[in-house]
Amino acid sequence: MKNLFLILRKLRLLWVFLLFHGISLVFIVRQFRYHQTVFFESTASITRAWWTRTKEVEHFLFLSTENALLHRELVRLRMQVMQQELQGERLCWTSDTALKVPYSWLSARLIQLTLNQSQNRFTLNRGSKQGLRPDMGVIGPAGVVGVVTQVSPNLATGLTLMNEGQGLLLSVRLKSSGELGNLVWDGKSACCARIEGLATHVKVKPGDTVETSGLSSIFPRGIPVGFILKPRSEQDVESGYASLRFATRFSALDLVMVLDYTYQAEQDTLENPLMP
Amino acid sequence: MIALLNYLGRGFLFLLLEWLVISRLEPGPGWAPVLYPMFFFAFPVQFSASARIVFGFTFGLILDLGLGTGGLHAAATTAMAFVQPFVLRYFLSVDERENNLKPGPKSLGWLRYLWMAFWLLLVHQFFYHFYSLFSLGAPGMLLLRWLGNTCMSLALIALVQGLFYKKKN
Repeated sequence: MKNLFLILRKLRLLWVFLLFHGISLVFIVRQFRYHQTVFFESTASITRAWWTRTKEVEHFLFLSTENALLHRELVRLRMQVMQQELQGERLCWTSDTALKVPYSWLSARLIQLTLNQSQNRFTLNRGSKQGLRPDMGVIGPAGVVGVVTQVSPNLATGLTLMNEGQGLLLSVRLKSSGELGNLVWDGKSACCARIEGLATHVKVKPGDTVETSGLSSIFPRGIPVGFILKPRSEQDVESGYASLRFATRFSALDLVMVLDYTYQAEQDTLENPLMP
Repeated sequence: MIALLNYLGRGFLFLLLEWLVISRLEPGPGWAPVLYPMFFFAFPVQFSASARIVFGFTFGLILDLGLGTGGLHAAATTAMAFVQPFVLRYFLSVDERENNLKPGPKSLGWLRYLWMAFWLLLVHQFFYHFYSLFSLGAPGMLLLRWLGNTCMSLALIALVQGLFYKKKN
């Protein structure tokens, strides 16, 4: 602050000049109509340019807020669609023709869900009669829920992401950098898990989105899994970990969608030609 | 005090001269040679830089009020007064500055004096004609008026100084 005053004092001659020169300019602009027109046109165009640039910056800065609002709206609309489908008992698989994703989906309702076990499971009100089979992905309005493991004619059960051990190994990636890792739940919290296998150079920021990598046929790429919880500590970097918060609120889950990969059989045959 | 009154009196004379004679010389549209910067050239070297600016502004504004030119002379004279200490520092030696020299043909010699006057007039005329045109759309016109008027003003100053120079000798 003292230095600032010193600099201002050192430039006092410049301030005096600018002051009196500015006053002279005011007199000039007030005196001549032509000068007035030019001056006001110039200031208007400068103000316009400044306003446009400020708005652009403002929009850019608030993109994350708009993104969150859009996401919330998307979740609400998904819920609405699922609700309508269940109320109408429309039991048909819907495919996404607009996005050309080779997946179709069916709405289902959770009829049972555990949250405090080391292997948390769910049960759906759909079964093999409706086309469900093991290894189908299940997603909720906000993100990934789990995978179907067993089916009966009218019901299906599966493992949620909250699964200790090797019950469910989900390949994920950081949306911002595309870095791959695996999702692991340590059984400590119903809201949080961690990514394993991240390279040491990978930097994460709290709030970064973690999504499905699309490297398995269970989930397409880009389904939200969670959000980075905190920056990586030194220990995390050494171990290749990063903490995340699940995108899905398991405690408030009701409606879900079961995903069916259209080319599942074809891919299985191609990758394992000897299997029947 | 006497020196100040002397300066004020000379300033008033220059104002009258500019109002009644110089401003009525109209060699052509856009041609407006000036004589009054000569009054500022003669300020002692150690005259306060801020006071120069204030003095230049006041003088210019009075002239503007008389001639109806808004603040054209005030802006140009303020700019000239602002750069004057830097120009003097370049043209005068340390001894000359410490002796509080009054720049003139006698003290500096004709060549140095006119050279110094040329640079100061360049500044004065640039601001005067730039604000007068108030547009970057005709740089040729600006350049012509700027340099032409600078040379004409310099010639006028040289002429007046020459008249007084002869009388003093």
